[in-house]
Amino acid sequence: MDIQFLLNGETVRIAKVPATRTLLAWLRESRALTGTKEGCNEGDCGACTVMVSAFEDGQIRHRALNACILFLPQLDGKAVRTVEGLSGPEGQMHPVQAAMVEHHGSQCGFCTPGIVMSLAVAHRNGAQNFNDILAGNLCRCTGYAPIIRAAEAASQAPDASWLDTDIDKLAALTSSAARPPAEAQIFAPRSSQDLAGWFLENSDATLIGGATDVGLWVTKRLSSLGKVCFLGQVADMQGISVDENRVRIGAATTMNEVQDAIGKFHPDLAELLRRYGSVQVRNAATLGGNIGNGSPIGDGPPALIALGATLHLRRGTARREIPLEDFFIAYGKQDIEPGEFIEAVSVPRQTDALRCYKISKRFDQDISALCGCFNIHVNDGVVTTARIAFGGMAATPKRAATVESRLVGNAWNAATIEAALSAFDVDFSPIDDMRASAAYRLETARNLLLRYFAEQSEGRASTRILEVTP
Amino acid sequence: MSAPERPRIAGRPMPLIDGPEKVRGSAKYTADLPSEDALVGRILRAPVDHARLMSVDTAEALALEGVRAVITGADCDTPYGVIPIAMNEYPMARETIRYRGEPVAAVAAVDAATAEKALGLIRLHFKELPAVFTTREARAPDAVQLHSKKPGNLEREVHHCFGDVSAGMAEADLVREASFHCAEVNHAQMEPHAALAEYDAERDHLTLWSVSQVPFYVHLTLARCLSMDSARIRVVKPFVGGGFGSRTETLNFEIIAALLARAARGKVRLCLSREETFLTHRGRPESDVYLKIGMSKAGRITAVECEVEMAGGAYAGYGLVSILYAGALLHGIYALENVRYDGYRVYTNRPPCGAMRGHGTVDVRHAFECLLDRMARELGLDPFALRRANLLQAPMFTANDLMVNSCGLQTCLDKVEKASGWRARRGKLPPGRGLGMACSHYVSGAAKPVHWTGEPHAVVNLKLDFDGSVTVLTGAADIGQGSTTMVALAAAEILSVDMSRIRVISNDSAVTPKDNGSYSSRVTFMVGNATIRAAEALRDKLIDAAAEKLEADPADILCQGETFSVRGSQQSMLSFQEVVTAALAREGTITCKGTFSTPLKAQGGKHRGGAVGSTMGFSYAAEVVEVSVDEATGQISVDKVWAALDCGFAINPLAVEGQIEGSVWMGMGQALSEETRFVGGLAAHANLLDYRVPTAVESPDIKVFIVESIDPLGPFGAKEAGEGALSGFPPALVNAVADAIGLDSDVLPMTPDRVLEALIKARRAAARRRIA
Repeated sequence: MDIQFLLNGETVRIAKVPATRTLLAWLRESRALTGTKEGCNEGDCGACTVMVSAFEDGQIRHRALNACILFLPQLDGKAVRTVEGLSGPEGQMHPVQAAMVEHHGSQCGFCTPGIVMSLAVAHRNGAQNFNDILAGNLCRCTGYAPIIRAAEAASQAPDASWLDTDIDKLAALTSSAARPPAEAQIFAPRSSQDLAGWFLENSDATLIGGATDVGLWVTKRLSSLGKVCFLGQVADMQGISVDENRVRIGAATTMNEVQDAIGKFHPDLAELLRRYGSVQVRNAATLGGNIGNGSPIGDGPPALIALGATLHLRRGTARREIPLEDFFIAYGKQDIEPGEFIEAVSVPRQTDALRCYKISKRFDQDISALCGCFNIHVNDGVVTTARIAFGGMAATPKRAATVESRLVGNAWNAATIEAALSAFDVDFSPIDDMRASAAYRLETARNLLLRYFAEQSEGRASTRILEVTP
Repeated sequence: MSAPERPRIAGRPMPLIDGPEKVRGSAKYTADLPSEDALVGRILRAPVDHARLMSVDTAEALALEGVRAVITGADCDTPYGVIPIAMNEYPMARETIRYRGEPVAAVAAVDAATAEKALGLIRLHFKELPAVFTTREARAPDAVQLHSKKPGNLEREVHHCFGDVSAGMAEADLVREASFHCAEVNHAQMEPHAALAEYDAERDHLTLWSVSQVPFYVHLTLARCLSMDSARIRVVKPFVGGGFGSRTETLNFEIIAALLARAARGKVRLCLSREETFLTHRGRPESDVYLKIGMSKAGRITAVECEVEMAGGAYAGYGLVSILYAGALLHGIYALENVRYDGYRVYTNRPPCGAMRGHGTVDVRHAFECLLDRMARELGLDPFALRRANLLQAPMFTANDLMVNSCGLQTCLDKVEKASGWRARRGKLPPGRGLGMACSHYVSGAAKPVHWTGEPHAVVNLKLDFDGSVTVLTGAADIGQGSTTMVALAAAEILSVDMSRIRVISNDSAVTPKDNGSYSSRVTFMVGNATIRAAEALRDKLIDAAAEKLEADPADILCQGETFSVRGSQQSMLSFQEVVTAALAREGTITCKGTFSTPLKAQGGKHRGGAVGSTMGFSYAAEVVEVSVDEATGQISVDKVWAALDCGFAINPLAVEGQIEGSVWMGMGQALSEETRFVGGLAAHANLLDYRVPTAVESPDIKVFIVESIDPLGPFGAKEAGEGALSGFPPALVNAVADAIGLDSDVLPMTPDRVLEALIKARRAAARRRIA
């Protein structure tokens, strides 16, 4: 596979691109652009953050991404800016860079290029929710306050218009890019049909959405993946469509887009997703990947299960639909055949009653000790439906079936809730591990039902002590 | 001669002079140095916790095409360690493996893939031994012994008693005791460890570029472990991405890189992964602190008993200093007369601990300030009033002979009490919210360095040349704290020149004078003073030259704003360049030196270990923390912090504010979410996902107050600013949680699971009391 993209305004062509060469390694080793730092090589620290711009549905989009778990083939047809490519035509600093110096936001300086890039993307997008924007950028010197001060100061400065030259060049690049046919080792299909046909023949291939998980197989496990298939350009598996019955989300849709789109229907799921990884991770990670890797601690599945989501699977031309909870059979085992892939997830339209509680030791960028999602509908004071699902409480994302059964058909009151609490012990036998003890998980799960009841009974007043406010 | 009465540049906020390079990405850190011609180094690490290492078979690895060197413990039989009397570590394990992840061999190869492959071809033959992970296991009567001559795995025990503790306790109206457990924490500096070593075989010269805070110690250790004359070694510190103590001693990978380069007769680049960086460790040890305090009704402390047990990991490192600091820094903040301290530093089969920001004091200060609050509650005293009842009066010497020349703690207390609205708000916040406070302090440099040679503690050289530029040559290691900017400020201030005239060259042993390095917050005090003296010497030469030219007495020459004039005369004025030309005409390029040494009386008591804790001046801090606690989930949110620090004088208030915010914030990490976690000896925390440093959203607004007590010996009156405020945060947080929900916690960090479990326990205890 041959690719081309813009690097700091210049067109780069790479013939026979290695499938799993990371952008970070390439920048530092092949281009001597050492401003982009390696702090962890697994997408946790953000020191390698770069700006990636691309046209999507005719709109230019600028995103912050972690270069350490971004494979070169994912950049085909896009524009990349690194910290070395931010200064103006006269060599002047980008407003974010100048403010970072002035406000002492750069101390040891090692996280600085990544911080600068995250803030430069925000500056370009006009975003100012800096705590959220910086969730994926760790800094050990400043305590973040000077960085936030710098960000606020820079947000007053005019846009760095010189970066716009990328947009014209990108348009030319995108339109002129000749797409190679399927190759033996790397395939970047344009449609789900192409994907389905190829994957049937190459069912040993690894499907790569955003590489936020697969990236670590390469950088940490030092695995070589063999055949890979990049889903970033499968147009009909991206995006969200809404009809009167359901919201359908393509499997290759990034979590940030899911967050934006689903927020209209279920604001609390958007709030949950805002705590999913970080901006950089959500800009890459896809919903299909989040489900497909089968993790018992992913935050997407419990919420979607609580909403009664359906999983759309496809193998060649054969399609089937299953309730999302049935996909997770056991730890490491999902209901999926060789050559089959997740095409989409759909969520039935419903009155919003969803509340999601992500419980972790760190607000952002942490794996949930438990994630409890509650979707209980009440009519005339009586519980009509109850869907409660948890992550982190079992070897798979799992519904609290007994708790649900003790609620449905009963009055929506404290006595019913009280009677349901003991059923958590029936539904779940969580384990002690690094994230929490079994006792903590069970106690908190019970408390979350109480909390849901309090929140639903007393209106939507938040009972949470820390929320990200945009 | 005459200097301006008030500092002209010093004392004003000054952005870091190397900031532009950092924000543009052009600052070169060790891993960024050009190394196309370098071999790739990789380390093979022990897969077991404790074992007798019988042999390391490298034949297959050596035979692999592209491998240029394979080294093992056999290649270095000289132990090293930062404390001359406690050197017991080898760069690679020799006969014994003492922790999982300890280096056992290393490879240099033409590329990373070959190096990785070669590691897989090295065969280890070992016999596993029982392992001990906690102090209890390590001190058990039948425990396996990690080091010969260290029975009971006791690396060092300390027994210090000052005053009459029994009488003090007897005199007390209230005596309370408590035990606190503080988890091990790690620096988690953003830059992973890295070294680049180049060996010149023709000349038998070695150059090492590394991430060190102490290039001088690295230099000494390389000479020792490679059996090379130190004159053949050059150590360079490029930009360094944070330290916080992780790099205050020579680390195994630095020696390994050098050994590999020599074995391969070339250049080797050795970059550690984040996991390896965690395994190299040197963090703050897991500590158990038992504390007993006697107090009068008025809150006056009459006696203190403290016992500390530290799980120090597999090797000595700074261990004996840590355990001595923990006792010594009970003193120096309050007026204490009767103090007993028993400290035990214990070996365990885990990565070695070391120095971390607030070295030695943090966990003890935590226990102390928590117990003070509990006792204040019992006595019906306000926490502020209790601290005020115990303030020491500077100048004085503490019971353990530490010199205290200045103390602004009273002002710190006043500032945060007022700003936080303490009197109006404490105890009156809505349910689940609370306020807590604590005090803390730290040394401004160890008055007696670990390598005691009798030399000055700091030397700074200045060069003034024909171009009118002043080059400051210093060994002070800027690791992000801003020492380079501080040095430039001090020189510019004394010379009364523009900052743009100053260039600072630091940390190249071929060029810059020796400096002990960046640790124990010594740089501003010691290097700052040395810079001032060097600049004064240069200014004297310029004033002499100006006086000659102006035909005036040097004492009448006014040197200000890059001009030289005769006091009281409006007639003649010389520009800086004119004076430079005149001065150089006398002797050519001018070099000047400034030094700083600590007076004997600052170097601590005569008792064994009495040098540790001794310093030129203590910084003091008081802080108030406001929290919200979610009793359903155990989650704590820090809403606001008020922190005041007496740093003597803020040479660069922008940097001082940054240091206070940064240290308070790092204390918050230790208090809330940071801890290393092991499964046996296996590090399960060794990444930045599971080792949870706080992110932006959790990081509260920190209102900073700089208090200036003007230390009589400090440079412009300055003391340290980067460590003192850290140790106040954890106890202030725990005290705030007690105010919020009535829970007294004895364990750090206060993670949600610990809070919830403690709440359940407290509720059960309360229920039992009701039944009884």
